[in-house]
Amino acid sequence: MKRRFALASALAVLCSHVFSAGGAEAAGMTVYCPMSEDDCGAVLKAFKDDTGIEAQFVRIGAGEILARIRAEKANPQAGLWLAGAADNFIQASSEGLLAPHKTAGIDKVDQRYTDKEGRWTPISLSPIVFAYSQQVLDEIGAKPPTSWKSFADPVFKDGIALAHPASSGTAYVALASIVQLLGEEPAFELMKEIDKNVVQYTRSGVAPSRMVANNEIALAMAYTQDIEAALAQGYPVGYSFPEEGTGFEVNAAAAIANAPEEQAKSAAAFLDWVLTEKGQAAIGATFRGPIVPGYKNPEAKIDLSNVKMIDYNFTWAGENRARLLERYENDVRHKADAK
Amino acid sequence: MTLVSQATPSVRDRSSPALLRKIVVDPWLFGIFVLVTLSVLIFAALPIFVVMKQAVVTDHGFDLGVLIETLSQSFVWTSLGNTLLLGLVSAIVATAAGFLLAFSATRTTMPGKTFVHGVALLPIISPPFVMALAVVILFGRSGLITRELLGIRNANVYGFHSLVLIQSLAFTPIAYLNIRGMLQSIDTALEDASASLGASRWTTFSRVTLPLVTPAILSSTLLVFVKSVEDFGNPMLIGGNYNTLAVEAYSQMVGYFNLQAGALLASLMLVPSMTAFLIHRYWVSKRSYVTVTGKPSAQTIRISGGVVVPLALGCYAIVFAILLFYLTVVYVSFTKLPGVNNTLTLDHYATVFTAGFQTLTNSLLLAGIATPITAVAGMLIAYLLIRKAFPGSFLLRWATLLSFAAPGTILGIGYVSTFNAAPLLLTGTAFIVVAAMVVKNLQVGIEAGSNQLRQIDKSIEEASTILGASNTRTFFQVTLPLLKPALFTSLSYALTRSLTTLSAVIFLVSANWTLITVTILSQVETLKLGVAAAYCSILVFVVLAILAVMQLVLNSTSKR
Repeated sequence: MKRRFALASALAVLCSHVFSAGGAEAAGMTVYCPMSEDDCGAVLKAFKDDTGIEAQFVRIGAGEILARIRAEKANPQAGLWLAGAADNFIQASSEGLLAPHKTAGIDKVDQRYTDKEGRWTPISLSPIVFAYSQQVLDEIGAKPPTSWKSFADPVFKDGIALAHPASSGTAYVALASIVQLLGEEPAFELMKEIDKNVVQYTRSGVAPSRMVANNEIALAMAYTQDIEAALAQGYPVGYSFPEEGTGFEVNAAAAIANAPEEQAKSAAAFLDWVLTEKGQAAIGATFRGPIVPGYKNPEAKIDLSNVKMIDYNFTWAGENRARLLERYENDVRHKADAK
Repeated sequence: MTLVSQATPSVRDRSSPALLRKIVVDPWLFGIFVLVTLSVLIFAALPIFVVMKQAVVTDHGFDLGVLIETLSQSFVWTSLGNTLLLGLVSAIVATAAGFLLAFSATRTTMPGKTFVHGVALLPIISPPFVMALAVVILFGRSGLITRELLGIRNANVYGFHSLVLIQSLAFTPIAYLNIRGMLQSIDTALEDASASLGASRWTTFSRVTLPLVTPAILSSTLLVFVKSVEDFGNPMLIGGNYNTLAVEAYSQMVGYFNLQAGALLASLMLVPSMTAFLIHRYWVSKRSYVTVTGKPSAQTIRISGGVVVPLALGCYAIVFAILLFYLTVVYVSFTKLPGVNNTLTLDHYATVFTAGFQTLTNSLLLAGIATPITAVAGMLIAYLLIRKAFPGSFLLRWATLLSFAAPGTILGIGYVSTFNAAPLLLTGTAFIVVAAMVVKNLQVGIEAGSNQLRQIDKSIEEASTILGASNTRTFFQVTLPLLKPALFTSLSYALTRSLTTLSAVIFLVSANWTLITVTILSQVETLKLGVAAAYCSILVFVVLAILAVMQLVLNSTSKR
């Protein structure tokens, strides 16, 4: 009997811990963040050092963040969505999931990269870069890619991994860039050719660069910050830019609609902070390009100053996302059984 | 002796006075039944229905048009076919491997049984994507085996073959534990009798042993099939262009923002699983498998001699394959840049130790709470379903089934949508994570319990009730102790799966309650394979230690 009592009281203590901890320790703002744990932590720490505002993050992918915010709509749990391609934010704001905020310093940012209604705030620019494995290139006797069309070269059969544009911002920006560059019909013709070389469509945008870094495949498309991260770890990843010009992603952050008041205040403070010099420095330290011109990460290995960028219209990209993805799914991915 | 518990609706109607009497005789047990059924309905069925509803109900109300439109797309049917094929092949391979291991471990003089047993349990301990990574590192283009050993330059690991390999290995323990539990509880006197009556070993095996473990074989096949259908991590990471329903459902929901199509595909996933359950139930309920009768029994038979050699070799091969995978992960955790720079280093462990073990402690705490609940609830539900046919038990049966067959993503999104407002405001608490862990793993406990109960002669419990014990007391003091092997199965399964679960909890973790699997995934996604492998190695080690302790406790309490 004694033993049973001990067991029961132990259980009771455990349970009370489980329930109380949920509320008591949750002081400060909750942030949903798709960057790496290190990056999320570093940015929020810089924010706290500067403003004294506490925040903890939950690290999940951008697509999952959107799904989660949508599911939590009735009673939002987080105040801030930090980072992710603007497309996701455009989708979320069209569903009314984001709270508008007129961010201080937004006038320093190129108008093309902002939302007129201020439902999300641009925080950084990430160009698309080609990553290649010199070892695999040597084996198959190929040269580093110089053009979007290089990916369709039959020499790369089973040598390419792409992230699926539906689940990865990287892949969608690449798709939208090709469409904007070549026009829709030729772009999809090219994607069909590239599809023949693709060995795996991955869920995460970083996975293909990981496969390049491990000499698993020859080519991948990535954001510059992902390649910087791989280089910083010591992986011998080669990189090049398309001669036609490359596309880029506008990274954004936004306050979540109907968040608890305390959290909403902190989120607004973060948005105002992120465009300040210190905020941009914190974002820049994650190797993402600054959205406010001027800051340069001294540790960056990829020189972005000579990269040719296309006049990427990402509002168009965001608005046409559903249509392009559907066409991609039908024409490229399921073409085999479409006939 | 036939089982009377599998009441069909018509039988139930005719015998309702008898059922009423059941309730009156044992109001406590009926109370427990109502409580359990309600909890299962709220925590298992409701969240899934909330998501499923979206398959047909759009913003414009009930709409069959979108349903037909989605169903008319060919990729839906391709992925359904892919899912079925993969499920069947994996289920057969995993069950065969599990049976081989279980039979050799309980019936032969194979040397090194304890070791085989330990290793055979390993694969449930690891998050699925780790196995996929090990396959890439071993068999990929720059794989340790394909490239370094065999000199193959363009090995392609992505696709059906890798999926079968990984799923079979990953799900073998389910089959092994299930079949082993049953083989252990079969009274070997039956096999002795067969042998002493002059039957050959083969006859004894094929006419006595095999038929007796049929329920476990069938339910293992079933469980593995359902797990394979539901598996999301492996097809996503290594399926190549072999798309399954789980992957398609996920990309529709999370990628295309198309909740309707995603919900529909997810509902489609339930069809093969539910059908399999129906077939299984029909099959098993037709026969009797009673061998535990309360008469003295002993496990004596030992197959020795030449037959053991091929059996043992088969087991060692499986053990070797499992070890190879796990040692690869450990090896990666000590290499600087796996596949590129194979210098040995302790850096990754340094990173892990600096980051601290908050997520591991969280995982252990929450899984520690979820495990006993899962195991006891599993046994209790098995008992309620097999022995007591209360009105409405079909609700309980189907709700638990549904939660097991539903993909984790659906359960996760369902939980967030359902438990995010009063009166069931649970998001952000640890409770919601625990609930998801319990619900996701309950079915294995129920299966293990049901198999065992089918073997236990009802007269043992009847004796207890006749001597004046209440049904509740009978359950806790007679039935539950008899269910010990099954209890251990579901305890170890629930613990390991709770510790390594990902797809459902990724929607439920909060800043205070992040789990170790979420951390591992995040390391994998940001290229830090070494750190991910270090976390995995630590996790595997911790789980192994706990399982060893559990086994010790079980052994010391079961000395009768």
